[in-house]
Amino acid sequence: MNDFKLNLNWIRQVILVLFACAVIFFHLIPFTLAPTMRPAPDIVFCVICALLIRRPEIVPFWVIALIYFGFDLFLMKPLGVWTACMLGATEIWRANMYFFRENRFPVEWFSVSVLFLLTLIANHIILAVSIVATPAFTTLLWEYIFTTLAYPIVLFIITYILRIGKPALGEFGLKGQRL
Amino acid sequence: MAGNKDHDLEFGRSIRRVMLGLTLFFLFLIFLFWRIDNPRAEQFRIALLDRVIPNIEWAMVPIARVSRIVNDFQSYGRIYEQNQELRRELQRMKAWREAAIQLEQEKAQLLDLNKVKLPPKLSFISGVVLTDSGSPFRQSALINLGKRDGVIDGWAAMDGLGLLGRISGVGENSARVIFLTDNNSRIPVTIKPSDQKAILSGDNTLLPILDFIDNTDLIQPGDRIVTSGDGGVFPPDILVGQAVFTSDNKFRTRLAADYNRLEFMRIIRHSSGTAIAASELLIGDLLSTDDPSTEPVTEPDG
Repeated sequence: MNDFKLNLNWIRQVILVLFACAVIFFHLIPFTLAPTMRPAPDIVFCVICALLIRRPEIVPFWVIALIYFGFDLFLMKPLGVWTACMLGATEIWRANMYFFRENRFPVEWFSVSVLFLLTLIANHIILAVSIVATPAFTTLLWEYIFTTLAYPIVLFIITYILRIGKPALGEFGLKGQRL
Repeated sequence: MAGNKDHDLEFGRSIRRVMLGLTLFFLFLIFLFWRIDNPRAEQFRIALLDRVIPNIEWAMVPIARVSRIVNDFQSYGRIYEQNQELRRELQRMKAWREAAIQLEQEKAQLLDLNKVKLPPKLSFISGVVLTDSGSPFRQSALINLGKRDGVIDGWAAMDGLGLLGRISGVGENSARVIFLTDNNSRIPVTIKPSDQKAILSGDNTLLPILDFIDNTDLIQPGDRIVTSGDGGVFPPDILVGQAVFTSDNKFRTRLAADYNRLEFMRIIRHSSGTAIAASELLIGDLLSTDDPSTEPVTEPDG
């Protein structure tokens, strides 16, 4: 029993939350105040999905809830809806984690894009049902396209620059569980 | 040993499931609160932003400025055409200035003839833009004026020339300005030469729609649009923009305010005038007393 592992996950979680804060910060900078049709991609969603397959212990659900509630608060969104949709989406993703681990990149990319589309639709339906003004379809379409295009770039940075890979066969977690 | 470990993991998983359910339930409650008691929820949000944003503003300003410099640098590419354009524009402006001066003098003479008393000039406070709304779905900005500066919900915001929007949500040190381009913005306006009333409703584009026009035949593209002051929310006769007719068969407004390079804005101090509810309360007591020292006092404000 000498393979004692230091618990560094909380540092990674803090770094993830700080990264989300930086994203919010960049959203808030008033580059231009004219309305645009091109929203920024949801980079944090890409990061969370990529990490969920590789190191799910870094992204427990409460970190996701915290990050997305921050987004809701600071970006003037309806409080809680997008967070709840994201929690649902990431739970679906987490449940199918082992399937994606064995699969190659194209399957993963396609699934991420479908998942994001479903999340957008769920969010839209909840808002429409509760009679809140819903965003324009063209803007949502652009957000979807940009997020899908951003995923490979985010994945490249995570695997080759930050060097966070899928766990090797036979690797065990802190409590000795299968990863 | 192994069985114990598995048991622990199983226990952890069920705890996790319960916590996840609780989180979702709380999010649902928060959304319900936001939906039902929207003003209070937004008040809470603006209080939070009021705490955070002024503290991180120092980091935002340089980044925004660098991006503006880059944009300006790109525009050097077509500096010659711009120069020509500006010269032509300046020429036209000179003609207009001449016309304006003549009209001004004529108006002064006519007013003098009539002995008209004008309402007091609107005064304003200037503020700096702190942040934008952060998402392309809402068009608003946070400015560095708040309750401390006496800002009140509903006041109008302008840049130097035209109307930008209205104050919606005031914190201690900051306030949110909802732009005319926002989905939720509705402003009563007058279309100028024909004096038609309309509602200017934003739709997340730079050209807000003119709704509820009585008679569209009387409107020409290029007509001036000013605030009507209906409902006492806005002071009347603030320039909004020009009417344009777009390919979707709607009259829209080309806004006079420049949203692209907005750094400062003016908040117009405005009170809709005090309504006198019971006139006998104002004069009754004073007249009944026979004290000669009491003279009717006229209050200048209102």
